[in-house]
Amino acid sequence: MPTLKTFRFSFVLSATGAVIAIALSLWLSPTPIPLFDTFHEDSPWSVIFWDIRIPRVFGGFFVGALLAASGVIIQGLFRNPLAEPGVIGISSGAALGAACALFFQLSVIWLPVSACIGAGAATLLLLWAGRHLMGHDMSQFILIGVALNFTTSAFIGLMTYLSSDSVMRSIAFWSLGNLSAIHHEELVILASVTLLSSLCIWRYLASLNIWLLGADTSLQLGVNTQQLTRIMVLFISIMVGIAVAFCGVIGFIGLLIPHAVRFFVGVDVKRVLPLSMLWGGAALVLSDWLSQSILPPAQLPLSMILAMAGGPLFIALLYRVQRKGWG
Amino acid sequence: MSHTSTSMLLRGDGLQFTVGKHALLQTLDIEINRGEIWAIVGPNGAGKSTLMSILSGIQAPTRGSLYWNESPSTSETGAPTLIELARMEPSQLAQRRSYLPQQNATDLGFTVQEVVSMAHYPWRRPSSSEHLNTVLDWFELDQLRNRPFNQLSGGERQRTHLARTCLQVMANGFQHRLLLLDEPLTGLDIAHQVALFERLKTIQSQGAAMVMVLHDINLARRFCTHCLLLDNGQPVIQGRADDVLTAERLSQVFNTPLLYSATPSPHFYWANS
Repeated sequence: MPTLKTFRFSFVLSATGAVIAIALSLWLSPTPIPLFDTFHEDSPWSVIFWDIRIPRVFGGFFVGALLAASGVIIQGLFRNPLAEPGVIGISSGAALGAACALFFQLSVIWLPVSACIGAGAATLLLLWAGRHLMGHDMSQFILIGVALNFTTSAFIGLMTYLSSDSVMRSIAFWSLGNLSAIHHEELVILASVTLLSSLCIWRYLASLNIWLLGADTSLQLGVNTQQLTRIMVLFISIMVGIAVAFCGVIGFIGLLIPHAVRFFVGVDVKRVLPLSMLWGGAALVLSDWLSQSILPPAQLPLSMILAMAGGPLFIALLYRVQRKGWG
Repeated sequence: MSHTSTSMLLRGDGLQFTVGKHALLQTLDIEINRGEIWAIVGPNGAGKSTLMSILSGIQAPTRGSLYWNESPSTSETGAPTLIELARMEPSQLAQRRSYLPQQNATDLGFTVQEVVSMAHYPWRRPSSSEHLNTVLDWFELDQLRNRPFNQLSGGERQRTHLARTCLQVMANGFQHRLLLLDEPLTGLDIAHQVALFERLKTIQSQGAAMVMVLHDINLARRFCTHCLLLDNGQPVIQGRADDVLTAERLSQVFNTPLLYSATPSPHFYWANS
């Protein structure tokens, strides 16, 4: 089983992998940029590199990291290995929030804020439903998420129906994941949210580990469970809300990445979270590269690429969880 | 109860617990002192586990209150400092008492060592490997320390939880600590049952108190200093184990004819055999 030494090793390895993925995407995707031209101010390549690729690739990395981290936290909070922002409807909640901001034509600053509020409301609803409506069956819980997804899409559909053409196009953006809307301002926000939240969450990971053992054990060991729940909901809202506000709904990263990481380093959240962030970032950057290179010059929707891998793996996971539990 | 002895650890005054109109526990006064080992005995559904969870401070009683004596054992003078359990922070509580509930569902892949090490959480300090190794040794978990918890047998899981429960209050020695064990013998073979009681004796000798739910009345009589007999949420009697556990009373509470024999060693047996 993993020791601290092998964790350090896997962390360094993952970080290196992430840097390579970022570098490859920066210079090669979808068309190669001559390395020297990148730093040559007069070259048109330089503009493409600094103004388009840097925000898109780094933005994609941070969004992937946020989604994977939120997946780890959501699976922990609900003690459910199948939970994921997209599958259980938290991303849709954020998209509905964003759509509301667009529909009522609020100022730009309200877009991420209302997306966070939407994600938070969905999380609270799921917590309530999980506590009062459902038993302990983990697959059943996913059904609430399905219902939540249907409901939010209905409302988003209604708003699209009632909107003008331009607003309609913007709203449509949220249903298909897309990294093309990340510019320098968005990149700064994404970077700060990612770094700040990963720093702040560090001190709660020991509590989250114990929380995984069950509510009784948590209380027995002196975990302040109410406070922990509130903090986890806050982190989920911010992480999912910001990711969705800038890139739309991108599914499956939050499900697949944490499970892949657990396969290698075990279930300790202190190890799973940092590695998931690195892997999630790298995975999204590479998926974005794929989406641009399969049928050039067309850009396929990111959600399509991820669902092709994610859908079948989700079924495999469902089967595994039904039979063996998680971890 | 107005009298408070200096060796008192935990006192419950007028504890009641009701769900709707159904009383799961009727008025109970109890005082647990250092060095005492209490057995809670009673038929299924008597309210034993409910009482354990109330004594642990996790479940608040519907009525009544619990007090923890903060004064160190050596101070014979002055009034003891009592703190109401309901006013304690979760971590303060976890530093003073350790509670093994009846059900401990964990199907996660944490290793045995990781699960046991979680006992250091209330103290918020890095785990002392000396204490960790001691409890792993106590419950013969040395060989299993890197095994994922979900691959353990029932008895091995129980030993892991017992090790964690003991380690939790070990940080400054067991003096002035309370161990609450709900059916600690579940899943243990005879060798590990004997070993467990030897360990518990060691812990008791260091000044801790224990409350445990036991189904084995012979064990309760032999091992425990005190006993509380519960029936249908009603405290029947409490006191020294020898006085509480009589054949007549047990036959009545369990509605089963039981006899007492002093030879070869004191024990109860089923009268129809």
